[in-house]
Amino acid sequence: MDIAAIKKGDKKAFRVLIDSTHRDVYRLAYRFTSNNDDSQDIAQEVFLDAWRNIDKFREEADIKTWLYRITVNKSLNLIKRNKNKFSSFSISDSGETESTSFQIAAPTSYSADKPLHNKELRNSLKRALESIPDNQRTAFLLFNSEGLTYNQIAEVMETTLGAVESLIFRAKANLRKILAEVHKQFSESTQVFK
Amino acid sequence: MNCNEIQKLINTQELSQENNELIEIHIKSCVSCKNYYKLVHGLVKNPQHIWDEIEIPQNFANNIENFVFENSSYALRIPMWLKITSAAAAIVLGLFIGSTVYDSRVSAQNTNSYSYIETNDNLYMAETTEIMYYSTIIETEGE
Repeated sequence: MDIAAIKKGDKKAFRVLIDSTHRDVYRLAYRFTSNNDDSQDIAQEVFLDAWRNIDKFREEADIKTWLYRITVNKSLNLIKRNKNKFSSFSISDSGETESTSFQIAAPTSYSADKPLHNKELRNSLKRALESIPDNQRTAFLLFNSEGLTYNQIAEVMETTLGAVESLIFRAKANLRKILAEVHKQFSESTQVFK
Repeated sequence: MNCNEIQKLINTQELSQENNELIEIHIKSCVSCKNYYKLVHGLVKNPQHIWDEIEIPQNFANNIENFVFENSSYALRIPMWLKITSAAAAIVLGLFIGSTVYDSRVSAQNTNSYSYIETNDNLYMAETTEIMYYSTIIETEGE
């Protein structure tokens, strides 16, 4: 990829960048928003920002990492702007739930005594992810969805390797806590309805 | 082992080989614990297999390209040295205009205060006239 050419305003070189990275940008935005329209808007804005600010990009860095950083920021900003749409309860950075009870609605087809399918697991994970702190969710998604290394995640999030390890550890612990609660609630409701 | 004990084992971060085998045996015959294992252990440890396939919209790269170049026309790339120079020039110009306006206001105020004494202060004028009147009388009496 010819970053120097993009810096000089070469539109063809920028098109090459779009072709090679737009899928990754779109996918990451989708992991945050679970919404096609929002993900398209985010991806377009990411590339617009990249084009406008390419002068600020250091050529020795990885352009994909830079694009991921813009994508994460834009996705989190969108989620903050539409907080009601995206989240029903949350866990604070310290790991304490900010609500007295878990309000995650498990998939409607969920029943503790019927085997869970991938779709139900996916929905449960999405909802649980919406409930953990932004930085934990970001680290978890970059690692588990995009397959980035801890070093790359540290670069995207502009933090240290140790901080990334800690974020992913806490993300997993919080997700376990939430998903265990989801299972508990639905086991209880299944028993009530029996 | 009962379900509660198995679920406690599942909650542990790293499962030993022995505990893993205990869980495997239990979940073969317990759907609820199997679900718990999938949710709390499998999903968190290895979620890659459950992500949905994401379809990229058709012609999305073209759409992005059009969006970028249609919206970036107003954001011409201006070199940093030009931005800094322009900002400095704007500050200097602002100071110059500000000081000019301030000077003209001060001089206008001075002029106003002078003309105020000359023309509008009736008491001052009366006193002056009185002094002139009396000095004329004194001069006339002297003659």
